[in-house]
Amino acid sequence: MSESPFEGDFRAAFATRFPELIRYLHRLSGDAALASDIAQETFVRLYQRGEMPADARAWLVTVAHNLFRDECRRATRRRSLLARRDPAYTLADAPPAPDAALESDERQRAVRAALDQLSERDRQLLLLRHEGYSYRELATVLSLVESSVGTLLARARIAFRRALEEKP
Amino acid sequence: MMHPSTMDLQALADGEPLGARESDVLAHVRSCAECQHSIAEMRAAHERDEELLSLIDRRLPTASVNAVIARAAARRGTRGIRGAIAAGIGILIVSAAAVAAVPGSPVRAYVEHLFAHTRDSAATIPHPVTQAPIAPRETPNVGVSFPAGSRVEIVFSRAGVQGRVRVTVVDTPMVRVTNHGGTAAYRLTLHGVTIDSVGSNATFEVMLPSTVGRAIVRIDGRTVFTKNGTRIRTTGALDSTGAYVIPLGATRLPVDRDLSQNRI
Ligand SMILES: [Zn+2]
Repeated sequence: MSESPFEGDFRAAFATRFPELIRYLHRLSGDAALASDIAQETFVRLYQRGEMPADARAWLVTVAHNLFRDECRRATRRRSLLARRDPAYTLADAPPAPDAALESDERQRAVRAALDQLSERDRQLLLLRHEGYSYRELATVLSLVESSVGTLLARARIAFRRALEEKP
Repeated sequence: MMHPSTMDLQALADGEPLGARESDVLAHVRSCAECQHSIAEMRAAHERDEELLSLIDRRLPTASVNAVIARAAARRGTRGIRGAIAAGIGILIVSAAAVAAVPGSPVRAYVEHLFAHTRDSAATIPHPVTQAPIAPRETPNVGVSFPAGSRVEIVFSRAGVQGRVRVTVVDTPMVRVTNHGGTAAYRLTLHGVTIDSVGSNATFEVMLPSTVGRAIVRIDGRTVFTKNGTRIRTTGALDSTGAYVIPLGATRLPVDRDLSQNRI
């Protein structure tokens, strides 16, 4: 059975884009299992599409956002479950020294809390910029006017830094 | 020339084109220490943010491209996730990745094998998978995940003396079985998964979607958990996290529970 050109492209896209997408979705949601489900489902949809979109990265993240939004709609009851579900996916590393563990735990929680304080759009803007998206790509993916991206991004960055400083 | 706007400097710091203004702005910045400093600050702030964001990164579950392709292929001619599983196709493996991603690791060999196998079976045969995967020596947090059908069967083929199974009803579309500690081999079947726990002391986490109409968990031929709609019958005890905890050596008679009254 020979591989179609699409299948080759798909495999190449999966190899580079899947790790990026799942990392981004995990930063966005704070939920490893959810990030995994959505990243996989996104690639299933890409395969079902049968041809590569002109801009695969933008296409993937747009579909992932839609799936994420669908999940969030059903989220009220999930929220308590998620908090509990996530630790199951922590690998059994050797635990760090108690002091270091405490400090890093605290910082992680502060970053998570700061992200959670941002609006969904600010969080997406900030995190996608950190994935290397250009202003133009951000405009496409988040349906923004390109000329407004710089200003909105600056606000998102400020909101994030402020939320970190104001951590409880 | 006056200093360019903060937005223009930020765009330069971000490596963005400035269109018609670009050559003027660049000419200014080249000769203005203050603007150069601002840009350096902006880049440093971005780096600091990235460092902070990377604190929450973790080693994430990985997936095989073959499993994803199999799942997509399986959905052709069926209706969504449910349709796929109703057609007798259970797919999709995840493993908590890092160890599995190490080339040459026994876990990787195991996971890849299972992926490759599910791909074949998903594409062609609506029958239980019978070929056993290579059992890994160590499986820290490895497991399977597949879309839930209306019916799910989770079978532990060999009871361990000290191990236990924790079953949690969740509101997600995927069934997940993972183990931490111990050793286990997973084999996907028509309606679920068979786990050979090889007498180990592993703890198994089972995430069972609430949408599953009928679910059954068996250990060594004994039924230890059933879900029929919202009704749960189990030998396990409900712990404070909302999981039903069942020892792998459990023998007590099932206790009735109704999820609609005892909802997590
Ligand atoms: Zn200047």
